[in-house]
Amino acid sequence: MCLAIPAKVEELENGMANCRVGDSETYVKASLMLLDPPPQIGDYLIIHAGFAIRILDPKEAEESLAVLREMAQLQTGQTGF
Amino acid sequence: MDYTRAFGDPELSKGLLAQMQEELKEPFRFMEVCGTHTVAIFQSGLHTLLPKNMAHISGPGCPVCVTHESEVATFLMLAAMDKVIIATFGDLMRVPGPKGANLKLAQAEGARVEVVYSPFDALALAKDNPEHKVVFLGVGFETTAPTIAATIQMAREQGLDNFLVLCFHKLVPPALKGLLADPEAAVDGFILPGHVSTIIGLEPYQFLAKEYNVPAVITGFDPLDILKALLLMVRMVNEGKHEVVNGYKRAVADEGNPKARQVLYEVFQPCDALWRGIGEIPGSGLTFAPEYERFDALKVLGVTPPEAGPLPGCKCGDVLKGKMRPDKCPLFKKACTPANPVGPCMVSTEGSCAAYYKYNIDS
Repeated sequence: MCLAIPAKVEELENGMANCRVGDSETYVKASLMLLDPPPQIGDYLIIHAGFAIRILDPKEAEESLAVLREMAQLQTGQTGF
Repeated sequence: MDYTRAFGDPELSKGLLAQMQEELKEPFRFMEVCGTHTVAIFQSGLHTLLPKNMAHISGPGCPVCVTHESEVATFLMLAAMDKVIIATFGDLMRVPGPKGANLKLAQAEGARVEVVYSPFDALALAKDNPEHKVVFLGVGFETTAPTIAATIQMAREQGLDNFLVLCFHKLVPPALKGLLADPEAAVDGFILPGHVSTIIGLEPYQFLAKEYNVPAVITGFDPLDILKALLLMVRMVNEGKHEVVNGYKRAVADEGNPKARQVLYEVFQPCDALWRGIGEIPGSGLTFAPEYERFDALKVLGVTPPEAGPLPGCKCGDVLKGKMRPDKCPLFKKACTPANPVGPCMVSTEGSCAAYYKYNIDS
């Protein structure tokens, strides 16, 4: 039930964001009532039950992937895959 | 970057799995407490790829599954009332209450039960039906509760007096405490729910490490998120450290979402709550703050939740506490299937019995 999806903000109007899900033509509207500060166009929002609950942090995502590569690298070096 | 795909990279996943295999010295039992994690672990196939001495158990992380029999009985009492429309997320439609009754059957017998995607839709329903009371079934954890609280504030601003909420929300950290207080609990580490943590942050979980010496990692729902969390816990155990770590920083700030918590605690306040199969856990539920009591369906409609006991033969309680694997329940795949569920863990798509039924090739 706590499923939440990331979607990219395309339009902002009257406290609502119109967001595109992935590369699809699916758009979802999300209230910004639970977000402070508000998002900008192009941000990715995590949306649950019609409300944006967090702006996805791309810097943290990149850092997290870098750490993962490092964690897996240990093994890659040893096994060669 | 496509964040929905980057964290599912198969080669990186293989690397992390091999690393985990190498570093895991002792048997390790981890529990997740989020239905979305349950499904993610099965759907991605991780369940079959984890090292043999790493056991996965699903805890009470599906809000639909932990909805108590007496709460379902209350839904049904309200659905049977004249001039009442029930608005609910679809997950609750087939959750069984006393004698196997559910909202779907009530609807078939004439009750007005409407499935909504968002609590907004319930507001629209209230506007369109001024002669009815529209009761939204408030079920869910800290992720969902602020969205319901915000909707109640909208109803107040719009002067809607026929929109009510039945508040059976539950809180995750008190349930974890309740589980660990059980001397039979055998959990070596917790994968903590990603989107609940988006709201509450890191602090409410610190007792896991400080009071119970159990490591825990907040993580996301892609395979790499889950593997990273497991590897971090293995390393903590190997080093004799017990910490609560935020492994999902792209979606969870350490401080959570203060704005969402502010809205949540303007409308609701903590109370004791009943969990299916577990019983009453102190401070684990939410009820209305005095200022918002005019939206409380129980008060406005004068209903008291009736007493209701467990369903005969159903082992969902043991499954929810991690004491029984779903496929070890005598009813599993026999009397209890997704098409004909006996207990809530088989009803919800995020229930551990339903996940075992759908994805576990061994059972």
